[in-house]
Amino acid sequence: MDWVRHGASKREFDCFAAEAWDPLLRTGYLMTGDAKDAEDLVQETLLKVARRWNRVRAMDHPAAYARRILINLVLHDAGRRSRQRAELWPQDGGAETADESAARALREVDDQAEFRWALAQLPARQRAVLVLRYWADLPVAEVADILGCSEGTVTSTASRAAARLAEALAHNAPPATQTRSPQP
Amino acid sequence: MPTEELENELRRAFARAAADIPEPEQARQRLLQRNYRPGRGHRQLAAGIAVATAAAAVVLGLGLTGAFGPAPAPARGLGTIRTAAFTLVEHANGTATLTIKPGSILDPDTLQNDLRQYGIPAIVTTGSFCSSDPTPPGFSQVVTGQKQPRTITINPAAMPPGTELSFGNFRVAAGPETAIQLIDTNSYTCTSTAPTAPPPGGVMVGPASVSVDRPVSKIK
Repeated sequence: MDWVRHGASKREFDCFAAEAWDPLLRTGYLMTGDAKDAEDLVQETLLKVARRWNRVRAMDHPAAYARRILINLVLHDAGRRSRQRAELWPQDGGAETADESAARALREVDDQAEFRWALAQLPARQRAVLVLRYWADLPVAEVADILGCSEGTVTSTASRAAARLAEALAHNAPPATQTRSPQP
Repeated sequence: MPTEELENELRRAFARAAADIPEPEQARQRLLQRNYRPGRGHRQLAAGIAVATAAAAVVLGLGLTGAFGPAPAPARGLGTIRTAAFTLVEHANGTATLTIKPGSILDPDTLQNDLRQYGIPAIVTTGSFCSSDPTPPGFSQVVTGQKQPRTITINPAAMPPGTELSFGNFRVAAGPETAIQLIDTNSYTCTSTAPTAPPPGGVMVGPASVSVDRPVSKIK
């Protein structure tokens, strides 16, 4: 494990980290549902960026690279805990909530803890699709690139994930009684 | 593809949820204090476990000198700093004598800050060692050995401009050891591989205790 650190380079990294930590923290918060876990994710992400800073600093969008690392850390962690590969194509065949119902369920959320709990019920890759599309506001193509799948998969996964999210919100229970651990 | 209405609701819902993160400023402060040290597992950090002898601690700080958790305050006298791992004595001629206690792993932040306090620019790491290629000349004028074991005297006035002293601490099978070398402040590489011999133009303090510069003939 080698890394290079130059005086000027370090200052650039400091500036980068000072700007990047906040969006990374919020992305991590949405992905994990837990502020402490989000903080740890940001630390790990910035550490990985720092180790490759000489390469990353030459990129057009270092922040996008850092976000990709953070998302992959969550997905990798989820992959370790579950080797299921069907997340993007759920096989349960359950009735999907219509988009209108899903939109209504989202409108009616009045407790952010409920929303985080519902989000945590989604498989990690579905969560990633929603977070990247609707929090980071990335185009479908970029989400597909980050997750290594087709654009069609991203759009279909977004629909299914939104439906699952609405379903979870509809069947919500008091967050205090539920586990905060997100699904793998 | 979700309908436009659903997509808009999703954006609003995520914006509200992201804004709901508790105490982001405190999170930022904690991240700064951690200095993004490698080798300290993030789950451990979440639990607030301080590991004083973490495996690979390279400071990638954000302009802060914060360590993870408060370090015990060193005992300070007039021109002398004593900690559990080392003693640093400042002399009237501007030099300073560093004595590393046997079996001690140096706390990188503490030693680095204390050296700087005595006008000695240094990068102190644990579990890694930083070096420049080529190695700046002049080490033998900067660091000289003493008769006492594990003691060196550092003369910051002899340091070439644009250089720093690199201290790399490792815990090897025989015990803790510290590699010391001059580096170019603007160009150096750090590696986590423990040196098996004294670095070129530098010295090793600890079990290996072999010097390559004659003025530091034996630092043990």
